[in-house]
Amino acid sequence: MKILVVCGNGLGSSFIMELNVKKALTELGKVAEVTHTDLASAKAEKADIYIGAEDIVNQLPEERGHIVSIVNMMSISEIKLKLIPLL
Amino acid sequence: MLTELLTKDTIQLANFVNTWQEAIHLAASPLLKHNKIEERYIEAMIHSIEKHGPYVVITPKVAIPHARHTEGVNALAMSLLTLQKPVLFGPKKPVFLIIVLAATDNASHLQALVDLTKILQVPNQIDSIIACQHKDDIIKEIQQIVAKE
Repeated sequence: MKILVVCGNGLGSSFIMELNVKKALTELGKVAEVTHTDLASAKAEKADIYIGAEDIVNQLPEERGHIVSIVNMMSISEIKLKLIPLL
Repeated sequence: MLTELLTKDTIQLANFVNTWQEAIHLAASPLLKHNKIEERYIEAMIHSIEKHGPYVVITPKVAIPHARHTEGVNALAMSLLTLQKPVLFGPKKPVFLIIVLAATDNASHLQALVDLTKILQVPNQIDSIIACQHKDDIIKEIQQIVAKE
């Protein structure tokens, strides 16, 4: 299982969210590879789940994998809620 | 790390601004003044939001504008602006706290971002910083939060 956290520039918000995704996985007792990148690279990188702000992940083609859009990137509970069905 | 970047020189308080673009210009002005960034970095942050939407609003009330380090960052830096009245970064995206990130590479700012995450994961802590009326109080709030285990 590979989860790619995506933001417009590949640093800043995507790194902060990577920390939160890892925290969410720990709380769920799940293991996955989590990395972060920018939107342009994400379009070329294969992952099982793409996660990020709505404005960003909606620009990814749907056939790439599961796309999860997050409203509050600091909310561990929102991240858990949206990841649970996919893990 | 965060407390070394967010200091009297880089923290500002304002009553209100008219647009989110003005908010970014004002928030980034200490970094420009101290030559940490070039003018084009400010334009790059604005362009990034125009292109991708208000994704820098990472949690309610808080925006962390940033762009690529190749777009005019001279040194790792951060600046913080609080607003008494919110500015809209998008529909239903009112922002009171703006933290400009200027990274020199993808690794050097990570500890500062870890510290920043500690602040932003608790809504009460965000409200405490927004409620501060003086720079010294903001610095104290940040020091207390970062020191927590």
